[in-house]
Amino acid sequence: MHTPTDWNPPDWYRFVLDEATLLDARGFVDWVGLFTPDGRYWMPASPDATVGQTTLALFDEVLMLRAQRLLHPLTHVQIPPSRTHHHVSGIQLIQATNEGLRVASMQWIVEQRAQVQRHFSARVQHHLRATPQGLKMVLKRIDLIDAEAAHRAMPFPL
Amino acid sequence: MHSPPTAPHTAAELGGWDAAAWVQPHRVHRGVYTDPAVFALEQQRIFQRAWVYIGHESEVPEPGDHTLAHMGTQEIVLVRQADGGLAAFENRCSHRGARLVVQPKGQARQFTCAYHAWSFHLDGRLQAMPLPQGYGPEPAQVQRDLIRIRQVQSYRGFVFAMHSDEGPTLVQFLGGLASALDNMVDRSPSGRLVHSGGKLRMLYHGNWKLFMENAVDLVHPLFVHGGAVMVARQHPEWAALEGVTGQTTQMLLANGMKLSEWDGVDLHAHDGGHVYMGGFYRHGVIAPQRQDPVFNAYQAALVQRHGPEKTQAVLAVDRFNNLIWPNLSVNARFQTVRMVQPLAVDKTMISSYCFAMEGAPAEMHELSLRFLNTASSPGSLVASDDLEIFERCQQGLSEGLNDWIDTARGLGSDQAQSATHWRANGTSELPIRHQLQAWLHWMRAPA
Repeated sequence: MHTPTDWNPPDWYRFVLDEATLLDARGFVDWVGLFTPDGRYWMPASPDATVGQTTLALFDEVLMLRAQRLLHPLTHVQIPPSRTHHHVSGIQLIQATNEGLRVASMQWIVEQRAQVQRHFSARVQHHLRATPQGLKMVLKRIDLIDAEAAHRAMPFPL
Repeated sequence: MHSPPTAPHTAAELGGWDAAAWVQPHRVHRGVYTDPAVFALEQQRIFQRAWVYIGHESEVPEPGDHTLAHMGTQEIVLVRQADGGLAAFENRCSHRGARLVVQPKGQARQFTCAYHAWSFHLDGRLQAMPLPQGYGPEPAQVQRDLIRIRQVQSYRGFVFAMHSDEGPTLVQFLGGLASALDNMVDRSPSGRLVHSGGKLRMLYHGNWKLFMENAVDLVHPLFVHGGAVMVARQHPEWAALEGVTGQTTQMLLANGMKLSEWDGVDLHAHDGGHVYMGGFYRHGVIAPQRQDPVFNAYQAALVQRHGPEKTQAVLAVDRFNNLIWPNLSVNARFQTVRMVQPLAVDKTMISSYCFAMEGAPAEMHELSLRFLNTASSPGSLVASDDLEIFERCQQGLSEGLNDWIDTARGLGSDQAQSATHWRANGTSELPIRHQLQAWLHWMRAPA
């Protein structure tokens, strides 16, 4: 007989949920710590971008710059700050090699800011590597269902 | 001081309305940004009669290649013709009015409407319809060809359209800012530019002119982008990262100049509302004269085309945000364009894309992509704060007792360089006043 507390998901499964929880808590600086030093957050601006291809991206830069800027009191687009809920489903291990793990999930992110609610639906890939400090992201790739659409300002990581 | 409400609210009321009362030397009426009737009139008088940028020839290289574009709110189809020329028509079937082309890009021998299968040649003429005998003889007043845009012309690959047989030629219209397009083409070692890397699209709930005016407002960066600038300043090591990795930080640091330094940046205004500012990137991979293997290889390729002297002259052109009014912003140094598309009086889309320079090292294109990611993405550390401010402006302008927006900064200090060219110090509002004069010119043109 199993009870919910018995359930002990694998670390890669837990990682995806914990990462989403950290983003919802606006723990952006700690969140950057979940990446390897060369880790990349990539949200391409087209639905069919392949890694290594030269395409425009909605986000793609030094992560700590984004994290600290989001928390800076003069960041107008976060006054008031965004609240987010990550709804995560379908977490699957799709590849395990000596290089690391590839985990796929579906995420529905709801943002509330200044009395306006927005919804983002994304297919998310986590490329994870085992380190002495536990699993870290080498790549987090977010493919929005409307990657090529016109968006209003979206300064926070999804 | 509050003046009585004068905003026209219906097109009929616009009959007695004088645009000149709303654009004064030192101020502009908020209705220019908030009145739906004015917006509707702009669609006829500016986005049909002025030359509007609609795309680049590399988007439609082969006969039958087509792409959707806009002249203001009007959707059009830009098509490469069988003879290699360009044509554009309104995206509406001449029969029942259905949108004819629905994919953003495509290849076709003819266009066939999904509704009753009327088909059209690449130039928009009616080709065939099922049961043609059932329609009887064509009365003179029936429009069976697609509405073709009256003039579609390319200036060195950049395609502009005007829905009128009158008015300036494209070269006359571009005037002093044709040089921005020249410079981008001249920077390509082959002379060829190819649209590459997709498009970025930003949306804001504000009037389209707010974007064009902000792009050459040099008092705002220190304040609007202050949060990002301060974080970048705390981490000089990020700017020192190799290649394009440090580029975003370098761009932010450049935005953090003191007001006295911004004042030292030149502003230039040409006839037609076309304006640009001098360059302000001084360090790193974004500096005009880089010293690194990628740039050296690029420079060598350019010397092959132009020789050393002209290469130096081409690379020495250091300008930022070349604005070809009403709807195009050009950064020749980064091979990028930003296109303004008005959606409603209080809703605007900005589309941005870049060009690969054929014959240049691939890394030069990465610089362009990174430039746009940083400057023009909805997720941008820079643009997202601009978008927030545009929305606050639109909200503030939409209500209340103060009808006027101040545009007086630097008034009287503009220096004429020629009959069609003025310059001012960086903190002047010369470019905003100049754009509003162009707005007035087109809005007052007789119907």
